[in-house]
Amino acid sequence: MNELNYQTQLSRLANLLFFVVLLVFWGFFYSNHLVQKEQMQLFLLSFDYLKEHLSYQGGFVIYLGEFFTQFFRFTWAAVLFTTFFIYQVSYASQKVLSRFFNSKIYLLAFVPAMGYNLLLLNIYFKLSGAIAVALSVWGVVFYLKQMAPVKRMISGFILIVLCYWMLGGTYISFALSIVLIELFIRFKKAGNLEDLPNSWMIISGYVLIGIVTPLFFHKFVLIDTLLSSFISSAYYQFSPMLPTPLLLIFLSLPAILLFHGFADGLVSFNNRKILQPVLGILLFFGFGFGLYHLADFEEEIEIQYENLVTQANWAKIINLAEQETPTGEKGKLALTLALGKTEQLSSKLFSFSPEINDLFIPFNIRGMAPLIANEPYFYLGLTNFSKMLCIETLESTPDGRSPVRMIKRYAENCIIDGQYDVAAKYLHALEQTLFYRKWANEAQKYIRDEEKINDHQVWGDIRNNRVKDDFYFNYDQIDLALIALLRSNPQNKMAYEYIMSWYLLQKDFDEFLNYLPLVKTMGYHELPLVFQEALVYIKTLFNEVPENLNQYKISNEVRLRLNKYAKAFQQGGSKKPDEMGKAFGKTYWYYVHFTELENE
Amino acid sequence: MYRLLISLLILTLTVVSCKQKITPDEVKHEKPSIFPDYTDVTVPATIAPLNFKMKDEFSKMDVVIEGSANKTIHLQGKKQIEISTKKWTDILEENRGKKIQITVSAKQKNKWIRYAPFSIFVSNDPIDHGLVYRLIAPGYEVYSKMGIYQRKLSNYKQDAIIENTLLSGSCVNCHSFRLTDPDDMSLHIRGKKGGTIIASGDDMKLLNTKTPKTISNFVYPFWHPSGNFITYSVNKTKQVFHESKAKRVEVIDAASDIIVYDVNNNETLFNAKLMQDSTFETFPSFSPNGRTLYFCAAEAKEMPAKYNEVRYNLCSITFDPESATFGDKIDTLFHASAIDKSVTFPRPSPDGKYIMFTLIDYGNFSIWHKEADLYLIDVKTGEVKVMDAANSDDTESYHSWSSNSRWFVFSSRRLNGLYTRPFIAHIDENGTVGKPFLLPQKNTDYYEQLLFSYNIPEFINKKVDLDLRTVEHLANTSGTNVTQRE
Repeated sequence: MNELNYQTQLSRLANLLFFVVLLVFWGFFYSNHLVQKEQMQLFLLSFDYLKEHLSYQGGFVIYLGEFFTQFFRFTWAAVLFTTFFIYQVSYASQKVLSRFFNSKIYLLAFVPAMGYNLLLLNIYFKLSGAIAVALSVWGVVFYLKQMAPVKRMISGFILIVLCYWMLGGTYISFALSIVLIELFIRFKKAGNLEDLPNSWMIISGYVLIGIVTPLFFHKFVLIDTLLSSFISSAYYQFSPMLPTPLLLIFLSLPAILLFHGFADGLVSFNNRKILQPVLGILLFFGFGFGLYHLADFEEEIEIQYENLVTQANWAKIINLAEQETPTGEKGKLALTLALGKTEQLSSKLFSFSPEINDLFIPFNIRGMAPLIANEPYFYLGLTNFSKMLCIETLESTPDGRSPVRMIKRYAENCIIDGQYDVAAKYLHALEQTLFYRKWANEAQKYIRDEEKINDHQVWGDIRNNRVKDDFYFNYDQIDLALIALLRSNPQNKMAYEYIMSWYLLQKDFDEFLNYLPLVKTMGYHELPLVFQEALVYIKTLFNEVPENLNQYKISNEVRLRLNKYAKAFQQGGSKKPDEMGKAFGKTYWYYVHFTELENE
Repeated sequence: MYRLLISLLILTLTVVSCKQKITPDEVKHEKPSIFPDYTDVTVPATIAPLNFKMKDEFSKMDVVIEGSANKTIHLQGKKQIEISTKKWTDILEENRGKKIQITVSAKQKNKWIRYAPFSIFVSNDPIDHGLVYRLIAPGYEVYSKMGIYQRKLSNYKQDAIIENTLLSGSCVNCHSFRLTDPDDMSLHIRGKKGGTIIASGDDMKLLNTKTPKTISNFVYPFWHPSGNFITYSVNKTKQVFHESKAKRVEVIDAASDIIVYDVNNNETLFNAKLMQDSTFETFPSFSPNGRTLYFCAAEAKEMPAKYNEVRYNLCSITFDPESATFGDKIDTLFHASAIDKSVTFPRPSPDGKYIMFTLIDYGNFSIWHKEADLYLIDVKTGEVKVMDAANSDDTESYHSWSSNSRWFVFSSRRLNGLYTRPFIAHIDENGTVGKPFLLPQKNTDYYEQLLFSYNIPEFINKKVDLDLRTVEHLANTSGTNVTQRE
């Protein structure tokens, strides 16, 4: 095999392998992260929206990123677009190297793409960054295509400024790359391009314009920190910060150019035949190692639960939890909500090793309020608290964008509450989107149509369940809000299950017994399993069991299991939580004895 | 060829400029329902064109604007009526002190309907150069993107004065100017790089305003007319959230006092009467002659349990700027608690005749009180009157006077109940208020699309020129500690 054939074959193999790895990883292991990106933005298909994005540095590529991200609600689209743009970074990098150094295979060209792919594992890095890096590398390809020195010079100056304004920080990569290219041409190290006239002056001009452009905009146009003026908010949601790996990605293409410029002539074809597969294997395993170690697979599961709540897919949430109990706060919240929505809190809550805060996420002023935080309030009928958390989520996104999921939920809350003008405002925004337009148009028909809202399967129920009293939100006394729900609608079974679950999780037996009589009005065929387990245990705490507690029927199975539990507990089980957990981990008794409350 | 081109150009221009005259299919006797509602409003002659559209569906609008000099503007639009600035300015200037008449026809359901004409009164009273306001999402405890902006009133141009992206994770708030003059400005930056920016002339400093004697950093500001002092409240605040759909948030003062900051000597002045444990004192402001300090005061209650029992009265104490001392007694100008109401934001008119304030059922966070309305008290007679012409069924809260006392701007939630928007109204020397108008925008959908509220609208008599690089530099320093006068 001659060198050209060998290089072509190796190049095809490497590209195919990289594309497949990207596709498999995003498609099978990390798709929920991508899908949630769509929920975190409100992309409007309007000229004003585009105009606004063109008015600041990096805005154009943010617009492009948001445009493609709007399709991420479809998992296949999320996976395909992400793979495509990451692959574009590697493909364009190969084009640069092969065009300039006249070889067919440059495995190091995969490094910038692999690097940005690893960054995308972090939810705060944006797709727009991948597009920006890809476009800037294509910019270098375009630059190399300009054979005439004057044309090349003009395009260099224009592209530095254009890259800066359209793509943000990756212009650094572009500017450094063309400076290095010109230096190599100047010293006849590589490339078959003609030297620029007055090349030193022009190279200095490139450097100067690369530094002066952001400084000029910082001084006269932008209201941003100096760092943000250089980098823009196209890459990382916390734009005032510059993560070092991002800087390394900006520097990677120039570094690879530098490496090949000096190293290529030193290695013979035969040596290259050995070195390239070795390098390929190293990169392959290095990339795999990076994916494995940098990916947050636990968060991926958390996000999966959050996404399932958006779809109101309660059965799938419970099914997923039955396979592996969620351990994160969002997964646990999704699970208790799913149990609450399917009236199974009273029978299954303690099958999933619950903790005290699983019913609601405690309010935390720091960090971003999770998208899911408002959901239990919404479905319970505490619409003002749901609105509060929607706005908190809207407001706590790091880049100040408006998550469409929260806009939609807020509009629903307003329709339920009869705040039609505000609802119309949010629906109007959603009408300018590609995928929420239809929903918003339909929702508009509900505005001021009380009968239609009351007949709506979800909104009607929630409206019917809303509280009639006013009180202040206090997480530590959320039971009072739940009781108010029950006062407003004594048939609100979901609220009842939440109250009882809250008291059981708090180990507040007095309040549990206090509200137990309402069980008869809730339409249960028998006393739910969790209540039976709690009651049979509480009875053991009395010297003399009050007569009224004997009216509730406890099944023989529960009694027998309690006896077994008590025996095991007394025979040293109290000091062996793991053993007890294996045998009785799904009982309320295990929760009572082996789960510590915060104040215990 | 050349002539042919010229002829074609003239013909095109003629066709474009001559709007087709409308023959209405129906004439209605009521005025059109338009957005924004500019029917019968009073405007200054230098206001930007009041673009508007029909509230109900339409496929085309035809508008004729007529002044007293028989000059007319004839406009048509498919989405809105967009008035040329030049023609608008000309017609307003020619009709100062008079009214212009606007006739609207709209093509609705394929029928041209002509509505009864409405008027816009063009006041002889000039208005200030522009407005400064904060744009912030109507959030609760957290905030993401916000900024303080200035807007010229004679056109639609809005510029950022400062955005919190300049200082990562910060909140910018409570901008205040001395009698609408932006040369003297106070501004708080909350967060890690926080402090109070005081810009006075060319001098700018960042203050650390907590002193051992005060319960918090400086909060609500108001400049002394001399520029030598700024009075601030200091508040120990807490937010609580309502579940009732009609209510939303309260910012509760668990304690609050009033101090005066001496700008030249970097000292905080205290007075025991303004720092009583048994009283919540807040929202201070100076009279235009600088010799009276107005404020709100309420009997202290257990918070938040008895928050809905808190009622603030409008009070005053004398202040001697020469010696920087306070009077001995507190006067109650309006005993709101006696009628089971509560006063917020007392703002004296620069001519000294009136104090405008907001009246609510209880507490001090009027911006989230649907019942909040604007009131006026005659300083001489003590007569209090509700400003019906300015008020609506929804919240009217923060307000600010123009430098000549003939205009005021206020924030209102009347458009949708959630987002505050700036309205401007005329007020004559007798306290008669004209119908307010919404701050005009070029695009009539602007407010519909905007997901930010207008917060603390203040008039300015010229452009604010805050040197952001100095602010950025100061924010990275440790700032200057405010001292306290013993």
